[in-house]
Amino acid sequence: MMVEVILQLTVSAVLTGIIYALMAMGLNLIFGVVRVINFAHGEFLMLAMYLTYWVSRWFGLDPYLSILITVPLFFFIGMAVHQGILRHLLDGPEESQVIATFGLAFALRYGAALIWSTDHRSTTSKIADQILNIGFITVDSAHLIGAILSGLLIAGLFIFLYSTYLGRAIRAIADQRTAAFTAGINVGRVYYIAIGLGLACVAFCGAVIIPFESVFPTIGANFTLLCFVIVVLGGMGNLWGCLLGGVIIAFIEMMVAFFLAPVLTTFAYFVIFLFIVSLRPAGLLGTKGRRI
Amino acid sequence: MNSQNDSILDVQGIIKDFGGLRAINHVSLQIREGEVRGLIGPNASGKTTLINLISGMYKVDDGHIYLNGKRIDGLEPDQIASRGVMRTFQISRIFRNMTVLENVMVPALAQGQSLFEARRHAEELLDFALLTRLKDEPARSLSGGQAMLLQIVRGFVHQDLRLYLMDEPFAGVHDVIKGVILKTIKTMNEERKITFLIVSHEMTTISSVCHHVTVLDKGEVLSQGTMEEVANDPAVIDSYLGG
Amino acid sequence: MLEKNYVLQGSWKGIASPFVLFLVLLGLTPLVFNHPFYRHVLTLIFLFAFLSVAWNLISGYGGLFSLAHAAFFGVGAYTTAILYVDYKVSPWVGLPLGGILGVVVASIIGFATFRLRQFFFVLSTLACYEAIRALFGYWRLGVKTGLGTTIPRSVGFMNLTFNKELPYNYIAFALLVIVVLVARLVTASKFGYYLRAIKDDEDAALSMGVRVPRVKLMIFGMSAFFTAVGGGFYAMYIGYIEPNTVFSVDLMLQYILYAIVGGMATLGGPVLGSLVLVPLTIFLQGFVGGKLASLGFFIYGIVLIVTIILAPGGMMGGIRSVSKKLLRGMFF
Repeated sequence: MMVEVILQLTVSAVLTGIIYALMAMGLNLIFGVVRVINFAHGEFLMLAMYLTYWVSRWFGLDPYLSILITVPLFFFIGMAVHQGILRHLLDGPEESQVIATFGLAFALRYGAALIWSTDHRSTTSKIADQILNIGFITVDSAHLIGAILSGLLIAGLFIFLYSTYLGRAIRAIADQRTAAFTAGINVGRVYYIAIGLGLACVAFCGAVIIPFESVFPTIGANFTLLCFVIVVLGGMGNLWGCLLGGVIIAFIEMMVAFFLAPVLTTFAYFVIFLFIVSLRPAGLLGTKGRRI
Repeated sequence: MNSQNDSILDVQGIIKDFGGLRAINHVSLQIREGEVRGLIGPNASGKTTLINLISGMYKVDDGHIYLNGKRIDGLEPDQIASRGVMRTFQISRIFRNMTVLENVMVPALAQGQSLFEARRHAEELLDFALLTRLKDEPARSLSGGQAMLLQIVRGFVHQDLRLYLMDEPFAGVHDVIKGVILKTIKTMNEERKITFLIVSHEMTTISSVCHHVTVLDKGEVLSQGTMEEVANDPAVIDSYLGG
Repeated sequence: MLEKNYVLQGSWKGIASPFVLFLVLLGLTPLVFNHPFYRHVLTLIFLFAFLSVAWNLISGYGGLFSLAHAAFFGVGAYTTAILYVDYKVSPWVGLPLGGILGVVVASIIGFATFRLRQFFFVLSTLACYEAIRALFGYWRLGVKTGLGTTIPRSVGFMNLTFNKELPYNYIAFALLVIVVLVARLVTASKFGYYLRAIKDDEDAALSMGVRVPRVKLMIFGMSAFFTAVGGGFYAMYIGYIEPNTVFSVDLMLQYILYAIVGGMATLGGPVLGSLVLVPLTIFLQGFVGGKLASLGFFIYGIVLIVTIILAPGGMMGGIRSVSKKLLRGMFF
């Protein structure tokens, strides 16, 4: 009996974990490259979910199809945010970034509450409504499709980052900013791209999540912390680590929710985070170089 | 394994990897007390990494580093600093929102000096380096060369300084300031018997102040000896011309 | 010369006398405002100013933005309350004990994160904040009022319980003066040099021999101590506590705002910010409910963004540049 439960949880965790990984990867891109701590990351996800909801309502589109609209849109929104806010904070004390993005999170969160009220909203896709049974394991198609799509995008990201010039430039900056600069890479321009890409990932994620998770203004708060914990667990700047971290965190989340209480999951993140940081701050797959 | 010789700095077979890249590959060197050692080599040969390893900014992946016979690899930078090791950075890292005088006081205070002593020692040093008129200016208003000079002067306020690691102290620095830096190094070396390890690209400047040099290439020690010996070493000539 | 010191020291050389004068005047205000409601507002002003200055120790002077202070406040409140209610320990003992417990909690976060980059510390306080929000927000679902503790009123100095408002005014004011003094002493000492160096360039400070983790731990501990003491005072003042008020992040968000808007890393900033914003907040809270709570938070976010990008020095920064111009004017 217990084995079955754990197997079920594991399968769910893997599926959810891949989706989480995509969420965190957006953060990894932005944080790893531009080195901005974005406290509003979860709020962007919330916005992406709302956007998907409204786009699919207005145009009668399946939420998965609305990706075609929301993703490019968010790419540009990302660049705009950089232009308007983040750019000014890069040279200042790290604290300013924290405070500004913390303020941004509140502004977005409660701005959404003002505009759209605190009602939960969700939408479904025809293909996302099914429940599949594989042996004793139950999987709902929304999670399955979400995981597959996320996995595809992650794979696409990998290819981009490892084979294209732009992708390698991004990785170079993430690794060694000054060296990349002297190698002639236009760091400033790459920042825009990295942030745009990061938010595009978030937008994709939003579309993928809304079929099974309803959106409300304060949903972002939990996501921000979740993503940061995954990024730290997996190793900053490390994409495989993101994937691994996503699955592990999803697994822990499910175990805690199932065996203890759902409300304790956030507390669990806190404890996990302190553990990682005390034992292996570079994360599971990160390099132990540390400073400079 | 212990440090056998009487050198002040004994680096034994250290290795440093960054991800898949080996930045430092089995590097060993010894510096005797009172020496002024140059550390030269082509770009990306690992010079800065080596300085970072000795000062504690990076941890070695293998091998040992001894200061006065005691192991310092694995220690944190502040612990190593308290043992009398100061360093400068390739791109000047001064405390921009503190005054020039306060900048110099920081290592003194950290060493345990009182505010009064620290201020006195700092003022003396600024005087020696001809920076007195700038002492109450915010450090961020200094020019590049002045900032480098400040960085260098700052380290000397430590009253028990044994080893000074300098990373490209002459890079992009005005001739006048370069002269002050050289004079400072020579004076401190003679009067206080401070040992130096100086990374630089500039051969002429290095030869004017260094007794011996170590040549690094691709993370390995290519050659060691006096400037002449090293300049005539075929392996060195190869790497500089070929690189 | 005077001008340079005044601008650079950043603490208060040029404002010394005016600030002391200001504090004295502030201390006299309860005598001027007789009405209990105004005195209540004054107690809150002093308390928030106190909490704001305490928070500023780690976040302003230490340069480490902390969201964990709600935890310290709550710990202080509960320690004092439990010791008083269940063990008949005088709050005057309970307050510092709560403070120490706050330091213990702070040390957990501190030991884990202070050898690492700033980011880890900020993240861990975020995690702390979210954990508290989740844990105690749960109790907001109207269920567990049994966890609320009413503190029996037994008037007396040793019980920190009074019938009139004035004693509370002066205790809160005394706390404020103490924390301001401590902040001043810290920033003017060797420690102040370390803090400024760390804030400017942590790695360089480390290389110069500054024991960075220890410095951070000490300032964080101080900050936590005072915040917890504030929690204890609050418990005795209000007379009733339950998890989702004392561990409330709302309170913390308030004194954070006051510090930022007033001017971080200054002595007078948090005090000024509280003086101006506490009455304003109380006034606005009269309109709270439903949509307007969201509006309040929305404005909160906007104010943070605007302040930090356009006026990072806050009100104090503004005052400084105005005074600078005035001083210059005076000499010509």
